[in-house]
Amino acid sequence: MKISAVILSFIGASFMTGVLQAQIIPDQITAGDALVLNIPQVSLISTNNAPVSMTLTTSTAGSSITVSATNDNLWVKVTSVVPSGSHRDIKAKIVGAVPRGTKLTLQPLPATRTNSGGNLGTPVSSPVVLSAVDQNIISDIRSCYTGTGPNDGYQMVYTWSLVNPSVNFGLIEANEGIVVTVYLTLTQASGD
Amino acid sequence: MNISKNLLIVFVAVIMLHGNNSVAQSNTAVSNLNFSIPPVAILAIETDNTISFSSPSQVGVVITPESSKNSWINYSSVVNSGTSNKITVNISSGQLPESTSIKLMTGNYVGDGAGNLGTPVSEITLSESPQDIITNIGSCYTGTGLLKGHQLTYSWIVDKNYSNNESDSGNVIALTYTILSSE
Repeated sequence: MKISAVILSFIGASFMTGVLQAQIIPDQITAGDALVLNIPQVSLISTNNAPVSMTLTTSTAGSSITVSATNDNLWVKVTSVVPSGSHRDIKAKIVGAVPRGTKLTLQPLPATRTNSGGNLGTPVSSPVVLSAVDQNIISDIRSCYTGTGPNDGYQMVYTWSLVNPSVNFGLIEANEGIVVTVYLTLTQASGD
Repeated sequence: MNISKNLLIVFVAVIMLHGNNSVAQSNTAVSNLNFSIPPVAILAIETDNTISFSSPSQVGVVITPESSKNSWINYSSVVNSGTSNKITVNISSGQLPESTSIKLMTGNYVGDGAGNLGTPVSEITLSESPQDIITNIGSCYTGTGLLKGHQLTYSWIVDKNYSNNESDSGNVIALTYTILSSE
């Protein structure tokens, strides 16, 4: 009876050891386990933070102030990883009023190729008049990166111009501190 | 034990889902654009006669009887909200012969400009004190050159008392035109 008890204890201990092995070893080193490779979606956008300033004026008596001013100092950089069969866009909108009698347009240039890779999308073919409503400026961005240098990415060409000055010039007001905020959004990945 | 394990799995799954959502979300870059429309107040006299410039908002012009009608004033103006510019004229050098005076008629705007162009006053007699000739100028431009803006017509007025014995043939009068804020 005592011997039986010892044997039982031994069998019990062995069983427990087996249980322990069953719990630890197969999770760690058993051949044939699946490896989980994870590439999460990435959606990152930033700019080179260049100041963008434009002035409309004249120094000739009798002349109109400059009909338009252009600034192309701002560059936009992105990194994007999208699921299969999907893409992103970049949309633009403004908060704050463009001065009366004027309009603001944006024409992005195609992404630079020097330090970039992947499917960088396609800019709109003609300038977009910016408003408070989001509008597409670059379409069909897939998995890509633009590079991170100050002149990598999409160059933003802003043009600020008078709207039909022969009719609207009287609306123009002197103001040297007008600020308009531009929001450039790299959208969620959406199916093609 | 099973309950704890299940909770852990759920917890990890929630974190993973949450993580995936955060990178899948749209992201936005914000930048400020700065616009500037400085005030503008500049004028020019278009004439066949001598002109000297003292500052963009001030023009000196020498007139003779031959100046007659071939003078035009061009200007560009950009005003702050709720304000306007005006143009004044005064005799800035030279002296008129006694018993004579010069009248100035400022015509209505013509040309290829745009905006809120000024309103000419009726005929004035020139003096050394500045007098308004065009008022209520908003943001506008007249176009450049002769036949643009407002025509300036000078008339030499000789009183009955004027003595022909005086020799004034070399007499020249300088006028200064100034554009400035009405405020």
